[in-house]
Amino acid sequence: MNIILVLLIILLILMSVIGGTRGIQSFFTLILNFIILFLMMILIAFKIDPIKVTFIGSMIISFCTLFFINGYHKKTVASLISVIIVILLVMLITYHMSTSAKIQGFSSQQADMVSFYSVYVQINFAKIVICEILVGLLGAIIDVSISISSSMNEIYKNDSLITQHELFNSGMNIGKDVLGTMTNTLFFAYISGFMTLIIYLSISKYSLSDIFNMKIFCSEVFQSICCGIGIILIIPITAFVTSKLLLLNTKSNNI
Amino acid sequence: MINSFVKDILNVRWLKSHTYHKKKLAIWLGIIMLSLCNLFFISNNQGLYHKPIGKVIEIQEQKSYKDTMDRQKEPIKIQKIKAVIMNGTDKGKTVALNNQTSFSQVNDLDLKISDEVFLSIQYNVKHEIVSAMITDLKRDQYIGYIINIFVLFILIVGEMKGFRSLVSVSVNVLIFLVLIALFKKGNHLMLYSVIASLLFIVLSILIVSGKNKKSFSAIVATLVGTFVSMLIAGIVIKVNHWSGIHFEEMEEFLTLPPETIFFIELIIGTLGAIMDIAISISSAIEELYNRNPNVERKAIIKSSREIGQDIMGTMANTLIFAYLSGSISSIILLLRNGLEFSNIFSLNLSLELTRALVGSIGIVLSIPITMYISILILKNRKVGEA
Repeated sequence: MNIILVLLIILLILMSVIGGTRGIQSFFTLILNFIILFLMMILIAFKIDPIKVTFIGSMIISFCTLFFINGYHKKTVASLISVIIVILLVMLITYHMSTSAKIQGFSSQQADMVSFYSVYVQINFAKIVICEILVGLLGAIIDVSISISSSMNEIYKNDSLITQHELFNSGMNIGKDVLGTMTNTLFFAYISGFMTLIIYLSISKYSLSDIFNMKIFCSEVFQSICCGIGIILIIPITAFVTSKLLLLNTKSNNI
Repeated sequence: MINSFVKDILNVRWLKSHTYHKKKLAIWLGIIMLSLCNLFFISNNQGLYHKPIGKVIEIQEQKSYKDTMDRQKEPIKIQKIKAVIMNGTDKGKTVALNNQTSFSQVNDLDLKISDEVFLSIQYNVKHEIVSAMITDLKRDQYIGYIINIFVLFILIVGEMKGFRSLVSVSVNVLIFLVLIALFKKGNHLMLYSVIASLLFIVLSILIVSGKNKKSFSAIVATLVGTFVSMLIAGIVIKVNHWSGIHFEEMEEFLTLPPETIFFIELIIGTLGAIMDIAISISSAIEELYNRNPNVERKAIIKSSREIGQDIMGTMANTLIFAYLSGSISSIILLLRNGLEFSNIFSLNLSLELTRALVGSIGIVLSIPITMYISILILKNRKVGEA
């Protein structure tokens, strides 16, 4: 039997046993997200602008993930706003650098694989790099953002007289805790995907300076670090947006 | 809005802690100086290279079209380039270069003014330059810039905790490099990886959350969680003989057995996610015990299940996107080349999907595992102290 299918069934069983109804909901949201991602790729293959597809696609994915898994609430709205802000910011920071570094497409080490196919496909692969970066960090920023905003919501529920400033500070503190564990998760995920390449490079005849300029190496490093930048940026932005949003009504009452 | 945001940050950073003000300022100045030096160095390191480097100073472009196999027209640019050599004995000389680039840029370079490229130069007997060719783009400065931005951001936002994360990442990179160096010998791959994984788990948790009971329970939970999920993955793989998993993507690069390497990659990818869950849940349980040392076991199980349900969906999501994002380029290339979905699916996604699924299984499993281990370890402490 196909291993992926077996693993999928095991995951469904575990999620429903341990997570109950919410676990099943989470499982189907995962499947839905995968389908949306695949649709995005098909749209890009039909020559629709990759940046627009990525931006709208990531908004839809964030929307589904946040509202299906966590329900409609002020905290999820705050997370959605923060995720969209961070996606825009990361796009701004990395666009120029990734196009100048020309890390798109495939490098000469992958020539064997590409040689079977036509490389003239009328799609600008420099834009696909932005798509890869944003999709890669999307899951992580949604995760960090919802952890911060739900903890802030709990704090607010317990102490409704809290000022925006204090709420922002506690949001930042929670964020710093999340930062440490999240960097680990992503670091090991990326390293595990990176390992084959590093073993290949360590056995091959390339010098260190060759490796640091190699397209395939640079694009991997670049993408994983952009992901790191995303999870750092989401912390203050979520803390700020959530503290504003949670106190929105109380403030107008006071005035 | 942005203005008040900046003010908020400034308030938090500076005004709240007058006593630390000077010390902090000095540290920040030092960090900024260091990063400026670093930036200066990486944009002016051409002298360190033995290979000649040219900086593009002039480009003349000629546009045309190329007919592709599927009767489409691909825009092509032929670039006639003048470049100044930046290093070596020919420093300062200008060379003429040819370059061809397509609209898709799948494996060519669309050069712009002031890009730096590596050259291969042909000389005649009198050691004069006959011709020069572009071999690759110089990319190290961009890697330097992005790492610099990352380090600055993580220190500004995370402060001391950000610094700890940086230390843990650096230590782990070191362990990883040693592991790869050991792989070169070609035997005992599994043994080395298991030892490296133990080090990864123990050191990362100790660095990120300090030396205390909470970390101890997180470490035990991660070890058990990783072991159980790898056992499940191993059994599934053994029973089904790797069916549906294609190693072509890896075989291109490897002389070592891809099955073993892939399994090691699964272990490393999974343990990071499990660590995250283990730390979150054991901190939460410690918090519950701190608030009320006599809290009932049932109540703890109920709260930690709720926390688990909260995080497992988004964590699994994180893994799926982090793993699948790397395949987007090749999937789009294959889609444009008219391959069928089923082929693309099995050729490009089977490895990444397996990673994401095994990781997600690890996440879900480690929720009850961490819960019981934390209750066992953290409760004993309370009894002992009382």
